[in-house]
Amino acid sequence: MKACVTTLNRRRSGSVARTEQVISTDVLRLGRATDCEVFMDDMRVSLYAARLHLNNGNILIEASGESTIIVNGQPARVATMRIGDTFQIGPYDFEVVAGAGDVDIAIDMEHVRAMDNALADLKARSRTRLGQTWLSRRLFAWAAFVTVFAALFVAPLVMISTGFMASPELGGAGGQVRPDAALPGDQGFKLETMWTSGELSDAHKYLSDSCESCHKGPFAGIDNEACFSCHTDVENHADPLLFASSSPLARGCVSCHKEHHGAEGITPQAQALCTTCHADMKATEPASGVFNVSDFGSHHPEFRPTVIANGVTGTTMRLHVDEAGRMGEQSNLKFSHAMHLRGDMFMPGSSKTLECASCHMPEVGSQAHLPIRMETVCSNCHKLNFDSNAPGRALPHGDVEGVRTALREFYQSIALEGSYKEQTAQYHGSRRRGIGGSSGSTTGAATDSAQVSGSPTTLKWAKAKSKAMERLVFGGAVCVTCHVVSESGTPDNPEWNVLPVKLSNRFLLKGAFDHGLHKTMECGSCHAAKTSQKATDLLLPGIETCRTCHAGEDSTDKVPSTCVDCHDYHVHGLSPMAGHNGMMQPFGTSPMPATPAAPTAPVVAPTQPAPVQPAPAGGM
Amino acid sequence: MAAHESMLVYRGFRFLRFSALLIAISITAYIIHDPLPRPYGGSWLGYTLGGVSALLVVWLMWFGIKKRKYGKGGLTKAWLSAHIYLGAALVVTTTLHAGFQFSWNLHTFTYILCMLTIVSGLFGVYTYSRYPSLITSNRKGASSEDLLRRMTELDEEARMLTAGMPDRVTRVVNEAAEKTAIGGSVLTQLRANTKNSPARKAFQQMTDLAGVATSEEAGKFAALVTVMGQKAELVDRVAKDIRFKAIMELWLYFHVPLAFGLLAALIAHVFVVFYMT
Repeated sequence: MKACVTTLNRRRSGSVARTEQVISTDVLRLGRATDCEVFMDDMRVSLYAARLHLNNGNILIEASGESTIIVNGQPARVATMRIGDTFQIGPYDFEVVAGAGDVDIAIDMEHVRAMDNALADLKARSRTRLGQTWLSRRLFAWAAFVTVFAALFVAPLVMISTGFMASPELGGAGGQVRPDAALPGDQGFKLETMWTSGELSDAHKYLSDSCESCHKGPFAGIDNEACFSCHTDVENHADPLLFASSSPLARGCVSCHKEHHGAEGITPQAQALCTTCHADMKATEPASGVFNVSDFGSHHPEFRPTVIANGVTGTTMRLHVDEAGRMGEQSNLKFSHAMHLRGDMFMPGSSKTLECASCHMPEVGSQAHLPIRMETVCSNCHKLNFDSNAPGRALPHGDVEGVRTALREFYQSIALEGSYKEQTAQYHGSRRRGIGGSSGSTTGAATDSAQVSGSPTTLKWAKAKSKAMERLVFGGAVCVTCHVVSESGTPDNPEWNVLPVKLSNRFLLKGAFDHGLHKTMECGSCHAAKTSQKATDLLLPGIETCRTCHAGEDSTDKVPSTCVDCHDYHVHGLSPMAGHNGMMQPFGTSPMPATPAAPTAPVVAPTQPAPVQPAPAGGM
Repeated sequence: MAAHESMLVYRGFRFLRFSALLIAISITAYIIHDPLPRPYGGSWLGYTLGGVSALLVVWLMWFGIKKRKYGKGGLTKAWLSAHIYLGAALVVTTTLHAGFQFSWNLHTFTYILCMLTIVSGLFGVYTYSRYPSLITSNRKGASSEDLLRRMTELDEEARMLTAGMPDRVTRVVNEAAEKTAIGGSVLTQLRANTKNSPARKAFQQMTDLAGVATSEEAGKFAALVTVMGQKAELVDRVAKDIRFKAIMELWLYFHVPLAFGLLAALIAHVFVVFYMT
């Protein structure tokens, strides 16, 4: 079989170039494969798209690949072709034409649909990648960088620098940033507050908008002076002259007081803050006399209460709790807790029996108790009455001469009113009712029987009567109930000496026990008051009592308790840290105060505060 | 190294092990260290963890440059593997650096940017593990280019079939060919909703036309319906292909800008810490 394939090539001018190819073969294969007799160089065509051959003189076309063959406009797999018929394979158009000479099959072939156009058009209409949309990684990245940098770095930097420049501190004039300097009120949102590293503590929150109050300049850190601007009288921890190494100034306030942690940190609680030094104070600061302590539950010295050693002079001693107990509180008071708490004593005008709180009344804040005073506590029951005929009449308290005067004047006035009786000492108070005829306990003193008012006889009666009462009051019935009273002078003209009473209101002066936090406890669980017969009994529990409930901060089965639960770092009574030009000042007016040398009573620092003046309490 | 070892298992999880070590050391140190008043960025461990984290951030961003320098090969894979595992480790180091202290400020903002960058990156890892196989099975071995070319072929076949057909038929075929646009806006690419695509509509119309065709036209219509159906299906497939690729790329539009925002915040953060010390 002889075939003639003519390739038509349309030029832009419109003319058609014809390339003829005569092939001798049994089967004419059409396809994209290079061994095809009719090679179609287009990817859209199957490798072997179709076969043309003679079948009984007819030209037969058979599809052999995936490409659809369209014969005379109809899809077909097999078709018989006649001259003039057309068929299409992919982008190619074919026409069966009349062959010249001995050619059996003649076809014209034209590549009519260039592949690229349709594809290019489709691509032009389509956006198949995100990169073809408005999204842009580069643009977004720059935008993010610039926005964040401008808003969170440049703008606040400008604002803060302005703030620093406005700060009087930068002038070097030592100007102070007082709280009121930062109080112009809410200034709205300030960009630089974005720089804060965390919430300020409650006490400093009003400074949130004024960084320059504490931050005195770029990269400057927090200087102690910034704290002293307001905290002028915060005391030292130890005498700065004797114990320079323990001076908080050297380390700086911020080494302990960490700000920008909200409520946490500004008053640090951690045990380690103290025990870092105090665990081995005997070695590091032997002169301090301070005992080693590392944990309340396991390594804490026994309590050393400060008790009255001499009630007359008011001298106190700080002793181990056992020793203090043996010595007792030398208050010069006669008192039995046991008797008062016996259960058969009642508050005046009440059916309530006496209990601890009847006398020990909490002060405002409930941490401690109001001092025990005759005037406010004892006198509720102990009225200092002296004459049963005059139950409303009471003697003054704490004034020996006053008592004598009161007695004399009382009986003189009785005599002057003519209301006395002879011998039996009965008298009639004409101003009073219901006393006539009754014989009081004052019998045996008066000797007169005259009933003439204003006469020397009546005055004599009054004198004798008051003298007798004086002896009874001081020596027998009233004062001696609670006080130590001694007599001197002559029997006719005695002098009465009542020893002054000093009561400790607090025993543990180095730590503070908060009674208010222990309200749910029975008083008796710590204080053995119900069995205490004497006023000298020290009713203070030892540390073991506390340890039944409390242990160190890491305790898991007891109340975790750290040093600052009871102790203050800044020792009350020491000199303020903020001194002249920030220099440390020694405690007190004397540069080197005498150190109490009692071996049994080491003190926290040689500069122990002056002996505590016990609450003044007059005799009862 | 195995031929198709993924970036995740690179050299027997070398960087996973390295990252796990870093995390373990950080956590151990955090537990042991007990600064006053509480763990925070300004303790010595805080500074250490912060420094390590900051260096990591800068180094991880360096990857963006590295990736462009080395087109192919193991080096990029090593970098990517390290980038993923060490980037994930930042979750731990930065959180411990912050000591779990968060507030409305630059510092927490930096932390949040860091977390968002990491989360977007982890989403990237997820897409890399999930979508390539979906893409391959969707394309059935062809390339994206092949799919588009096949689409134009179908258009051509349909056109050829319309020879001698009424105008309403050629119009349907032409519209399907000329109005078909692949992808489009970001949402269109992501949604891949082809229910109302021109090809789908044309297929429907052609089906309707075929229903009322005369018996002599039936053969041609049947062929046209087939071709139009193939085209509609191909459009679905291409849309899906684009959707998968868009998802695989989309996270980078978050990851990279977030990383640059983080870099700016980090510079400010480090500066401020010392400026306001």
